Amino acid sequence: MRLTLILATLLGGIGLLVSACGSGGEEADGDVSTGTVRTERADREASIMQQEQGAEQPGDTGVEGGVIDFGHREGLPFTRNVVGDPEAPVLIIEYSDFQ
Amino acid sequence: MEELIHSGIARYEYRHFIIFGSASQFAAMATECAGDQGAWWEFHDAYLIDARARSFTRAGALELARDEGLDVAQFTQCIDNEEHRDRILQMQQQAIADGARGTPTFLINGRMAARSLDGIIEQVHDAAEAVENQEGG
Repeated sequence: MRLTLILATLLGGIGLLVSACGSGGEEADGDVSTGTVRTERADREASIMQQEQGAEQPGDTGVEGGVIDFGHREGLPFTRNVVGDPEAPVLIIEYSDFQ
Repeated sequence: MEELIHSGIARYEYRHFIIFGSASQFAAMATECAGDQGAWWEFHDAYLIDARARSFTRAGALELARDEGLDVAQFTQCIDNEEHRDRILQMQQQAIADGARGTPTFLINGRMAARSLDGIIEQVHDAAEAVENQEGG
């Protein structure tokens, strides 16, 4: 009876290990710690969610920005297609075509 | 309108609303690819006034990219792979959802703006005042 329990525990442990490595796929490469795998996956999912949420708001998706150093917008902060103080109370959106 | 932005009352966002077909689509794509390298506004302005950009050709866009000191290989890959196609499509869909039926269409804090510059300026001031009142009370 006791031997059966030990065997069952061992088999269960092996099963869990196989399962962790198998389901982790490439994420488990180099690190079989399921905690780490879960963290990496959560980070990736959070990153994808952020991208998806960003995509719903076209103006907020870009990470490229700075301060405009030419023309009539000189000195204004910009992030991609948005220019002006990010804290400004009013947002003017222009929908336009270059032609 | 620039004064409103410089004074910190308003910020301005340009969104593509393609109504003139593939040349416009290409220009939007090139601008977004330039935006990856921090040159979104340079391309935006060029597409409004620069003859090379206004040829709406790949060669014109590449020449502009070179002049702006962009990584041309990265820029070329971006436009050839249409990397911002979805982003532009999304703006297009949002424009329609927001009620845009032609260009230019302005929204001020989500509300359709007047067609005249004076009207827009007045609406911006009204919107700023509304926000101020909301925060104050």
